[in-house]
Amino acid sequence: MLFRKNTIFFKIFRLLFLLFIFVSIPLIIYSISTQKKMLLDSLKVEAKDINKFIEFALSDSLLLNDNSAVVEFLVDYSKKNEKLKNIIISKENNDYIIVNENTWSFEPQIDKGYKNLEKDVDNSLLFESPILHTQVFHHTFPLYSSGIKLGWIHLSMNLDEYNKRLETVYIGFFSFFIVLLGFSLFISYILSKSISDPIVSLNNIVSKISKGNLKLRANYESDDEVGALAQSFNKMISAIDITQSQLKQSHEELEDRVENRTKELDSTNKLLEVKTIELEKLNKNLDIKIKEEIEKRIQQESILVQQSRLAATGEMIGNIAHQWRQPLSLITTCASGIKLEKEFGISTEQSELEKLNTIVQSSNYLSKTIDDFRNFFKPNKEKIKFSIEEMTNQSISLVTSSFNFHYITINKNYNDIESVYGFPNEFSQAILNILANAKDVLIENKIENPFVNINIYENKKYGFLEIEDNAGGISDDIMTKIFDPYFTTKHKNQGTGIGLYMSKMIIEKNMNGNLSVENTTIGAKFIFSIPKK
Amino acid sequence: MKIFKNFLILVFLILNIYAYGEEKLTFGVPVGKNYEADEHRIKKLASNMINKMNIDYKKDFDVIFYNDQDNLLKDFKDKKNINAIVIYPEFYFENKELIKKISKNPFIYKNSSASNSQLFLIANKSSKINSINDIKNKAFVNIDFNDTYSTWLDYLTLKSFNKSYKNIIGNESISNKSSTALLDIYFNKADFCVIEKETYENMLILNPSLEKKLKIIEKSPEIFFSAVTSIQKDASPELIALINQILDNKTFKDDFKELLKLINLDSASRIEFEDLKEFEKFYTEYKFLKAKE
Repeated sequence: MLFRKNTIFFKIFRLLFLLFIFVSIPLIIYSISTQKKMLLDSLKVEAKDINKFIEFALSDSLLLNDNSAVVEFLVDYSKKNEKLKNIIISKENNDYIIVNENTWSFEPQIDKGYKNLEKDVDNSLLFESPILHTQVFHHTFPLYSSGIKLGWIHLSMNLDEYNKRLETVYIGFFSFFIVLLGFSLFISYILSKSISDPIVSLNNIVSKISKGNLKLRANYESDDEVGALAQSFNKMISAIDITQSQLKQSHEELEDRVENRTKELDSTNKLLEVKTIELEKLNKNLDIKIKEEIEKRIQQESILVQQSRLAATGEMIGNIAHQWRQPLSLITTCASGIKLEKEFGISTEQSELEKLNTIVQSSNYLSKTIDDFRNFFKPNKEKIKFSIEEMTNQSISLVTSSFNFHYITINKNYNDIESVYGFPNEFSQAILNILANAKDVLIENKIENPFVNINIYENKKYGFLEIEDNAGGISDDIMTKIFDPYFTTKHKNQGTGIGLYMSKMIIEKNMNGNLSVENTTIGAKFIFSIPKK
Repeated sequence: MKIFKNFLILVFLILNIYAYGEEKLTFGVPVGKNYEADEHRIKKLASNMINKMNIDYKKDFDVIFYNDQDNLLKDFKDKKNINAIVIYPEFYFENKELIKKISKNPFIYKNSSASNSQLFLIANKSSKINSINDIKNKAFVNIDFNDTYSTWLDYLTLKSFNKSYKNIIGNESISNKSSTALLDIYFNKADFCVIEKETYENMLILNPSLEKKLKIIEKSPEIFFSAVTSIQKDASPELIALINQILDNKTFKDDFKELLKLINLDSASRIEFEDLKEFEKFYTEYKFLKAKE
């Protein structure tokens, strides 16, 4: 039960046990390696002693090159010393006396493995002896006698004792590890149990309480966190118990309330049904009202168009009046002249004819003027190619008299551009609207030396027309509203607020162009963009 | 004949004399000039051995060193101070009749484990010695402590040239061990030597490549020994039994190997005087040839 994988006991136990093991294993490994090093050091010391003895015993024989004595001694010595597996005297003249446990030989060369170990200082290592074909502890010493280097001594020592000691070390550490393992298991068990018991006990209580027994309490008492948790838990359960009782009571009360509310809801539903019926009726009325409002809107639109036409007509009439003013005055003058001459009897046929001709010419001019205006206001039925310059000049011709009358100068700056595509007459009406507004504002603002600049230019897709006055520009607060319908800055008697709205509609909706406005340093500039195709 | 080898024998005999009852076993050991350098050491080691034997066999052992073999034999004959003697081959040969008369239970000391030693005359192949006739002016390594080797070489030259070897060979050097003598031949320090067969075979085991450089020129009959010991004729059977027990004890050789090595001996074995007949025959012939020189 305790050792189930997901129990807290098991988790703590596993943690502690692994901790013990992970701490102790490196320590054991370190201790073993230290022991091994000590054993090798001990072999090294032993080898050094042997070497000193051999060096002392053979120095004379080696100096005198008495190989017999060397062999005699080494054979005898190696028999006495069980640890020595092999002795090699490597002489400077490349003679090698090799003495093994039960044999010896005199060779002109030895294995390279040995030669590589012959250095100025002694050295030792564990290696596979090329002669004995077994693992030995090998020590190589430089051999000196009276300061003369005679060669090297190679001592190969058997590892029986080393291996035995090492085995003892391994057994010792293995036993220690087993004891440690048992100890770790025991300590881990005790610690895990002491840590997990209160939690497990608390968990059991919680399980029982979760099944509905709110009268149970945790009996673990301690001043640690688990003890505090148990106390808090008991308090919480007490609070839950009380709350549950209150909840039960509330529930009962709630049932009564729900019943009452249900009754209220029924009556409300009935009222809602009545209101729904009324709402349906209201909706029907609303449809009717919307239709009525739409009709009103259409009528207003119609009125707006009518007003626009009337405004245009008024404008046209005003312009006609201006155009007619001079010829009519001329006609009047001629007619008054004829009359006065007749009354004073100074009339001559010649004079009468001249004046009558003048009257006829003036009348023709008046008639032409009427034709011009009539053509101008005749809407185009379909889009055609037309010249911006031509239509601009045509519009200007309609207002020239009026502008002259008010001393307004028109400065033309035309570039030679391609024709554009649209409704030319409607375009002229829009130009006329802008020119009329410019004139009005120049007059209203009493601008000295009033003028209007007209620029024509193009890009790849559009032809452009700019009409700029020097009336000071449009204030920022109304800049965004000037194209709205019924917006006007003029007196009620002077403007309808339809002109710019209609102009924008003509250019943008009917001709797929653009009409915009911006303030310049001198006044307002209206820019027409008319597509070429 | 150099006296020394018998020193060992003496040591052994010491064991016997007093082995049982009130009998004290005292060896008479000759110490000649060949052992002068190690005399003190030999005596010390022998004393140690006696002490050890006293303890091991619960018997009183003693040893008396003699510088003169004649005095030694005289004391033995007169039953004065000693009841066992250690004597060398030549001295034995010269006094064999008397020794046989007054003593019993002989045993010999050898350099080998065989019953009697066989000697080889061995030469370095590069010396171009192919027979005894080629040893003229060649360098010879003789062996200290034991003149058996030179006696046999002398016998060979007397037979071939009617001359002592000393008048034929070139340089003669001395080695204190037969194995060292063989190594000197191997390392070209000398041309030839005389050593026991067993020494040569043991050296071949240690280094088989010796055969490539060395050659056996002559082989002797198996008749040689290093020294002989015998006990007073009236020694008790218990004492004889004790001596035999010691000789048969295989640990003896190991217990006193340092001393044995020092005097260049390997083992001791019981014999009868009859077993020395071939040795006596050889020596008779040698003496004859020597007399003819």
